[in-house]
Amino acid sequence: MEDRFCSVTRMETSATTTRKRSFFLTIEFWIFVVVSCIGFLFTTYIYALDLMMVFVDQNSHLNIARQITDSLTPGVSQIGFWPPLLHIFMIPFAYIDVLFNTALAGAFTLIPIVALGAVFLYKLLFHLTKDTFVGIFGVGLFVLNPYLLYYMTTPMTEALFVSMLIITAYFLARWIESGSLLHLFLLSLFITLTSLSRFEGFLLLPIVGIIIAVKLFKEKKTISEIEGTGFLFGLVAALGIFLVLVYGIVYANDPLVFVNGPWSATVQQQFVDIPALGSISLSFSYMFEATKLLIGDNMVIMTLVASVFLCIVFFKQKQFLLFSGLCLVFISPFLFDTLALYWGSAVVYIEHLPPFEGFFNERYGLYSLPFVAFIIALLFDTFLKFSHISGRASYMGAAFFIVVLSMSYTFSFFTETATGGQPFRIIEISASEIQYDQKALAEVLRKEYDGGKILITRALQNFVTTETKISLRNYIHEANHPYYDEALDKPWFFARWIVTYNPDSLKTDAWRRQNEKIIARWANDPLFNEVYELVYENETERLYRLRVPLFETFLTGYGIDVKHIPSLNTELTKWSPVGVNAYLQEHFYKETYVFDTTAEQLQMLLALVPRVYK
Amino acid sequence: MCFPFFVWDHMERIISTSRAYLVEIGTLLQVVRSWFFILFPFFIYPKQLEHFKLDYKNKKDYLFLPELMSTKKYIYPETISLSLTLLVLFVLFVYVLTQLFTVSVLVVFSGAIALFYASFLVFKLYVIYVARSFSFIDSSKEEIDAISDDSLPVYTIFLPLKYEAEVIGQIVKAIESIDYPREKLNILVPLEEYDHETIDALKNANLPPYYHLSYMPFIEPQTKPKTMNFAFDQIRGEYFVIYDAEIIPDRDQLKKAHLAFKKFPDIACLQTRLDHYNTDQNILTRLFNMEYTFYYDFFLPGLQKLGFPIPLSGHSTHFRIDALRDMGGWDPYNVTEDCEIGMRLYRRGYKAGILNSISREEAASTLWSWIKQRTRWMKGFVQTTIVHLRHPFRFKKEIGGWKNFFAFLFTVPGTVLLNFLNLFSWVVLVIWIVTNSALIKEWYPGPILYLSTATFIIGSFAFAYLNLVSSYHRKHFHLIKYGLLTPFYWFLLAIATTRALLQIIFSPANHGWEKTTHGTHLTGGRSVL
Repeated sequence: MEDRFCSVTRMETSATTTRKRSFFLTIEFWIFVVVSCIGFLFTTYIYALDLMMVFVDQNSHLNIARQITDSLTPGVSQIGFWPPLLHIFMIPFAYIDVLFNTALAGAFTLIPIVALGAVFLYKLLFHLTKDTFVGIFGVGLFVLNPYLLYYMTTPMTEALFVSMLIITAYFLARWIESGSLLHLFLLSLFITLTSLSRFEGFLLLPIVGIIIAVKLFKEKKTISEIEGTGFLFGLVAALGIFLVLVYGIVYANDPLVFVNGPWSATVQQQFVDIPALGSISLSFSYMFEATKLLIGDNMVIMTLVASVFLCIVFFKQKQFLLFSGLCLVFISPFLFDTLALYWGSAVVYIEHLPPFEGFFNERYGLYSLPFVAFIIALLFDTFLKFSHISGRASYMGAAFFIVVLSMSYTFSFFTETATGGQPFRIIEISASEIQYDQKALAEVLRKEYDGGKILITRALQNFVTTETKISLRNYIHEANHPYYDEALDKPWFFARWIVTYNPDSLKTDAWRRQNEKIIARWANDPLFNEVYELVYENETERLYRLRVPLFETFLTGYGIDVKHIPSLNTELTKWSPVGVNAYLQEHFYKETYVFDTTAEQLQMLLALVPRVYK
Repeated sequence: MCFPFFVWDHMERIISTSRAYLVEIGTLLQVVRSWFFILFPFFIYPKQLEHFKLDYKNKKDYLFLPELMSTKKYIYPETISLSLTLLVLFVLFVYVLTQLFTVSVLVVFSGAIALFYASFLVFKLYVIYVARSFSFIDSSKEEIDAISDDSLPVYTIFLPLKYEAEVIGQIVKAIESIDYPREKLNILVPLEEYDHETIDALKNANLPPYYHLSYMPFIEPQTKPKTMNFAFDQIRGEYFVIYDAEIIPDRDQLKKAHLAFKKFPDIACLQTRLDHYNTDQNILTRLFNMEYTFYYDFFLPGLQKLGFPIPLSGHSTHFRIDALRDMGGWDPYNVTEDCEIGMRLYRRGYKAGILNSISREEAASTLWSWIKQRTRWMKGFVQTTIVHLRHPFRFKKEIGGWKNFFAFLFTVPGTVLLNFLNLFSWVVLVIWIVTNSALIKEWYPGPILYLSTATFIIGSFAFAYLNLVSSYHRKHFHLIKYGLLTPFYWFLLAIATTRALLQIIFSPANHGWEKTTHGTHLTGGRSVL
């Protein structure tokens, strides 16, 4: 039978059919099941430790996934400027209230994805070594890393990214060997998915592009075939980056909004110390330390040594391109982040490095985990094969030593936990300090909430929206165009509640002050303070509530029917901005002439009536 | 106990009254039935179609089929009735949806268009997915070499030529290079009496004796199928193939076809794969080639694998002569007689197969020539749809059930509709982008907008990409980059389709054949052989 997309022979096809028939007995299936079980068990552990939602980003990812379906303006506009794959995958889980409120939506999304990543790591190792045990050992190294386990239980992009990276590497290996169109397509597709998982994935396009070109040149293919293959690869592989750029153009008029926008890491970094800025050696040091921290010193050092050794082995086996290609794919996020640190668009803090402020973004170190697992498993395989060939016990001993050494990190981590240690000290230290104040405010809001819309800058108040258990469609936030703009302009017509940071707090950083438009505009406005009352305040947060009776009396006095006013009519869950404003505009003119208002009243009313949206 | 005869008296009266009522009800039902079929004649299973009354002696216009199965006349009561019924049903459907979802009529329209696009996308992608495991009918070199000339039957080759003086040398050379015993070849060359240029060129070509030239008087309609029906009584042997004037078939094609017919006795027709020899003439020919490669290497195999009816190609199609006779030849009024006969083949219970042999032809290389050719094809698709849907339920039954019926709808009228809607949708999109019209925004509420956008992005990308893949698959690597221009090609398709629809609406009686100019690649006397 002729396969029309890849050159599989009849024998291979029938083998596939046989494999499909006994799918439930395959190692791949059991790896998937076991990793999933480990993931769910670990989720209960993390849940018990109350570490599921301690970072701003965790809350933000969960909020974004939820607001795609649950928002004043649901839909694609809510996806935001981060690579959106996690949010898209999380939509069905975040939609379910109990999974959103407990944050388990992250685990439900990520555990199967990591399990799939583990399956592909096994397939990759098996494909290269033809040894089941080596494959399982590699998977073990990967999935027993406590930080990977942590990040697969919580709505963060790390676990998704490394899983996509592994699948990309697998299809690269397959394509290098088969040259088939199907593998090229799948390779390109997973590069796109990796690019849609994290910005680090962007580097895969040029790296894999170069690997493909080198392979084809080596095989003395014609220029037109290389060019054609390049088009087939590039069109799909660049799709992820293209979509991110187009999204930026559509929703922010700037394709590079993820770099230039107010919420971007680059802009945030302008307000903090960037110790590695402009120094490639320091950038490398931070990334290297982060990697050691999350994967273990033993493993990282062993990987460095082993990769040099394996280079020689694969070179001798005439598989250098395959090996070096896979290594490049696996270390691409490390390279990306090192460059990002150098350019100042990212920052990593490590406790024992300047500015000695605990940990921040140390999780970037986790991206090298697939590389470490891959290299150590290959090293293990090499010693096993040496032992088979030479029959010497010393090689077997070395192989055993590798297993012990590589597992020691995981072992010590869990022993420490079992003996009452502080297992996730790094996570706890790097947890957001702001969470406590925001959670306290959320508690008050949940108790006091009597309907109506809550005006908030969601990107700065992520803990509030996840903790209040109030449907996100009751918020007016920065992604609710044009509702946010009109509410910012004249909040009293639209927002019954307002959540802001505390402008008097010294703890509030400059970035927050710059981007929180609500308080920047209204903090010192007497009219605002007349119409809203301060319900709750703590060191960093404030909660305002509309003085409903006062405002209602005021508007009724001018013949305005409050049922048209969203802030007063809590049953008005969605309105046409044009309609509300047109109503007010029309009423303003009518009433001012009829009642011959005083100058003060007129001034007040003028301030209240927003511009008409046309 | 004696029988109560008074009951009998009553019984008799009851029976006679009942009988009278029954007769009345029967008569009423008959009347209702008659009226039903008068109002909805497309429900009828016309008796004359049970067995074709083929009139091979018709020299007036060479239409051998019953007129009801031809495009000679578009409008039949069946067509009007079906159109009106569909229109009423559609209006009702639209009305119900507007009431149900409290949306405007235009929103329902945009929703229907989005659904059509989505279902078309799913259908086509599924067909292509299935094509992965399709294998062409093929024979090895050893099998071909093992055939003894004596065992080969007479093969009729049909060469309809009209204004083809430019390519006479090429076609004769191509036929001469075919590996088939000369004494078993019966080459029919029907010519128009007034086409002196071609006749002279043929006379100067010193044709061997197995070429049989025949001369037709000027008879309407001036179409290729009429020409083929004209020479129908000269067909001899077991098999029959049509080669257009500019075609260059693989040398072993006839032998491969013979082996395939022998291996698969249930197959009545073999479609070969097509390619172009003037692919690199210009961008249009390159895009044309990519489209063909995709069609013959992915789409047709997928249709074949699923058992769906195949719109055949106009040339390099091999038939069993018995089947062809049984089907009544071609419809001389249909400008895509190939597609039409493909459907009729299925209706008569025959099967088609795809032969792994390539015929190379000339791609229309000028924009006007291409537009004319596509207009004709799209017009022919509409004609085929009209003819076969005159009795849709009968058609459904004969073509193999609802599955094949819907496959036909997607493949033939669906293609026309898609091309036409593309133009409409692009215009709407451009107006929207330029004017940011609130009215257009209202047509596309959330779910419809998402469905439309998703099908637009996925569909456009997938089919442009598949064009690239098909070129890669045939090792036409140098063409791949031109695949990026595929959207412009779709635009041309939309233009040609609109032109075809306008022709059908404004000049339905015109059965003229917009002939494709051949031989443009031979500038400077360069031959492709």
